Amino acid sequence: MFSRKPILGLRLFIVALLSIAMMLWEIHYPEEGEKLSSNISLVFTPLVDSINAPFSFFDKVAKNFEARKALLQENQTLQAQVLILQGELQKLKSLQAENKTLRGLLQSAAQSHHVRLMVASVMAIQANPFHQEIMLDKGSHDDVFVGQAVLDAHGIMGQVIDVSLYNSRVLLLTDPQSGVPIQDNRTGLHGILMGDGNSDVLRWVNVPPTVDIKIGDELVSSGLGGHYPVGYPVGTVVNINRHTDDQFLDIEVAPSAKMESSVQVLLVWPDKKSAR
Amino acid sequence: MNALRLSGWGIIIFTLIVGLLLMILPLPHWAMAFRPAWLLLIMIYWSIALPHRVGILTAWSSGLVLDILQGTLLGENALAFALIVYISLKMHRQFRLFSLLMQSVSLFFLLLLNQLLLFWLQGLQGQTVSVKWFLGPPLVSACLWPWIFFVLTDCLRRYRLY
Repeated sequence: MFSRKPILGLRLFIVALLSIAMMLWEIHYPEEGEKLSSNISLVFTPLVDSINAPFSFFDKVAKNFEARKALLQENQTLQAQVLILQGELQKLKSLQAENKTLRGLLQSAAQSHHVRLMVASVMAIQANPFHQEIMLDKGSHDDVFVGQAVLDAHGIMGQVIDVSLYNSRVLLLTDPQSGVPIQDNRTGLHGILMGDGNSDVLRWVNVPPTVDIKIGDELVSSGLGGHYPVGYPVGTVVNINRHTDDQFLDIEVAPSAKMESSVQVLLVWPDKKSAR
Repeated sequence: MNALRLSGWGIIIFTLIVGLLLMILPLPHWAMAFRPAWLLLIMIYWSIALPHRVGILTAWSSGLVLDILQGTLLGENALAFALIVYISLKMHRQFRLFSLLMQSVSLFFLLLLNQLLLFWLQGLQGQTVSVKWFLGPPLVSACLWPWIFFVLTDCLRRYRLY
């Protein structure tokens, strides 16, 4: 009985250390942690199935007893729906063809300006206050490189920070680690926009309170630094706060690109002559 | 003797599995906040009734299984389980002398500690946790304790687990 006490504490200590190590490991390697726990959970699938079994059983029984009349009615509405959907499908096909020709046009226009563009799909979005990143389905196989600019239909989204063979990771402008050189369309004033961690706000940093900036000013990329192409929309000034105790203005900018809702994005290869 | 011990473990593991199933049983959304901590309750009962058999390692591994099934960070529930069972092992003699009401009250505080630990660990990961129904699970669990106590004591007597 007396010899048990230290053993108990020791056990708790070891087990606690083990748990903390596991948690840290999973935080640092979330993908591998996911893989491991999904593998282990395979063992417990019978348990989960057994929990779901009564529910699915009652579901089945209820379906079997569904009235014939209801089924007939359902059949009718479904047939009507099929007709409607077929009509829609026709429309979709023509739209698809139109889309294809437009894409072709885009490609050729891009080629005539010696700038290569490529359409990529967003595979995953990771938006929490610490990381604002997206994954694209193009990688080094398609000549994507680190530092490359990514646009959507409305403006600049961010830049590539990590490339594997068929994927790439994009740091969005709204990430706290991101900065983009810009120019005010109205006055020509240069500046830098930093991310804020929110998906709908950028901050124009280090602006003295005497400069001419108004709410509604359009900001475009200035191309300084060579990462981002020149002249693409970046955002609009939405709020200017003057704090008397601060030597700089607090300027909020709404990004033009739809950071969290874009599905297809454009990768840009800079024109070698103009970029360097 | 040996066979009896093994069969005893069978019963204990069976009750733990039942607790696990109750933890992952799909509930309507409003009831989620009031789901009693079944597995931990059963674990605490065994650690108090059979402290020489059920210990920290059992608690830790069942917490780990819960982590896997609930998709929480590996080790989160495991750590909380180990700590709670450590405390209940330490005070199992006093606990046995308590009246049933007193047991429920002290259990409430144990489960509150568990809840705090889990919230704290989740907060450290940067997850936002809602504290709206913070007292829900400990309260419901404490109310359920007498019932669990009777059912498991019945198990204990019938299968002569001690």
